[in-house]
Amino acid sequence: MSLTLDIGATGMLAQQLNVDTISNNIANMTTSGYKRNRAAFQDLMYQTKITPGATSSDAATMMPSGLQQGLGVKTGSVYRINEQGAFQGTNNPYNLAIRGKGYFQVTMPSGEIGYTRDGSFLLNGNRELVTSMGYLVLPGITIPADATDITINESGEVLASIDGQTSVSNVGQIQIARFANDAGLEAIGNNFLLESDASGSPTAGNPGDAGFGNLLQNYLESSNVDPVEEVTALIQAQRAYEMNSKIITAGDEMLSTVVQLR
Amino acid sequence: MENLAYVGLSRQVSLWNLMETTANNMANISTPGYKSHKLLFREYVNTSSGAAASGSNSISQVQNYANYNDFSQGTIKKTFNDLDVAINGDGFFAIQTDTGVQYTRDGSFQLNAAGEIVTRTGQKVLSNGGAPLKVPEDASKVNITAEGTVNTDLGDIGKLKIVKFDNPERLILTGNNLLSAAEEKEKIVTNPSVEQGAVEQSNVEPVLEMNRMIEIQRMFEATQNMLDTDHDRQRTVIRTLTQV
Repeated sequence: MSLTLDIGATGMLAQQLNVDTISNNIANMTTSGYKRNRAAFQDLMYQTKITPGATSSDAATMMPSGLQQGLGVKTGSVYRINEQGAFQGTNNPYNLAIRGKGYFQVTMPSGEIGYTRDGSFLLNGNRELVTSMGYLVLPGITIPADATDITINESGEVLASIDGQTSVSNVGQIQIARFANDAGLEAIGNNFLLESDASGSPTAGNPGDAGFGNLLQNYLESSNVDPVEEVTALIQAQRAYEMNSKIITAGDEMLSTVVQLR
Repeated sequence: MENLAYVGLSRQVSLWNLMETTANNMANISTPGYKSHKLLFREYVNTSSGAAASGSNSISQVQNYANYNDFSQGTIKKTFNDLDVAINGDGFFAIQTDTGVQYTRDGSFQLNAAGEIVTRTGQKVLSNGGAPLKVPEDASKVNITAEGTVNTDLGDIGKLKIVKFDNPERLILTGNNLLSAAEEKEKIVTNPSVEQGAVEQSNVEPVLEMNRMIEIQRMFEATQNMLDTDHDRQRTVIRTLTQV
């Protein structure tokens, strides 16, 4: 009956998604390795009443433009912006940050491989390198009990100074994985991402190899959320939400005017 | 006799359509590359019998016969996403869809699983040669020059196909931020100006749209009042005549 109300509703839904996305970004402002999300919108299909370029007479005169009524906005997708986050020093030898492309690989309890940019690792009871949730970091690094000093270099080699030995010994190699389309990875929470059809299959390699980022020890990658940008976007989204609700009100009042016809 | 009602009705119908156009603009206030729609009105002369001879008695109604896109530049907003590209000035990106090549101003691209540059709906972005642009998997960074050439640390991939039209108003809107060319012929823009890490925002002006919304609503009510007044007049006439 009245497209105006429906169109206004699509606008409000879109802005709702926008606000939801922004609030999730703000909530994760201090989450290590978090990548900010953005909502993407597209216009909905059109009702074509007159096709542009249609002829208006037998003399082949052409309509300068058509008559196409839009049906609102599509609350499309939410995508991640994989911009590098800032590095935050921690003085913890098991804290790692990736500078450039790549994800740490972690064995999830389900047996799947989880991918994360959050390198806040710890040792478990078996002196294995695990995430803060206790999941094993691949390909599995065990630090000897008598190691006194641990160095993880840019290419992911884990070097330990062992008590009583003069030279450092290599106790493991951390591997990272990259994807053709990082934005296509599926986020599952707890800073983990899973492989999906959209991401392509992972290619594992050593940090520092061609196409892979480097590791930084004693650092964590902070979230790439910019609070100023988020708050500005929040204000804009809220106003846009209000304006779309006004459209609905105005459409409703026009309908009520019609109803009052004497 | 009922002419006033018909004239008023034509006004109300066109205002109703204008309201729908305004609602669509407002709904797309955050749609990248969206161009606001404007509605065109014309006088529709209804020469009722006998009136044509004198010409003075012709009744004009109003009709909204076309809409057009306001192709003015939208604000370019920095996003710092390597695959976001905004066109500054004339031009459209060429996109391969299931139904042929279509065009868009929305340059918020991403990669698909094969490493090809695609739109948010997964349709391939075309290069000047007409082939999709594929980023090698070993590449660590995508760089897009101000002229639209896409390169990585492993070399050039190709140039974004950016085209323009003599009559862009004849393009057909197909949704998903795309336009179809229909009869129009594309022309390659030889030296486009694009910006990487930015998207063109919708060019809808919320203040204008809100103003228009209020205006439409008031005009709609005014027309309604005019119709009501006329109905009162007719009622008075009937009552007076029947009292004789």
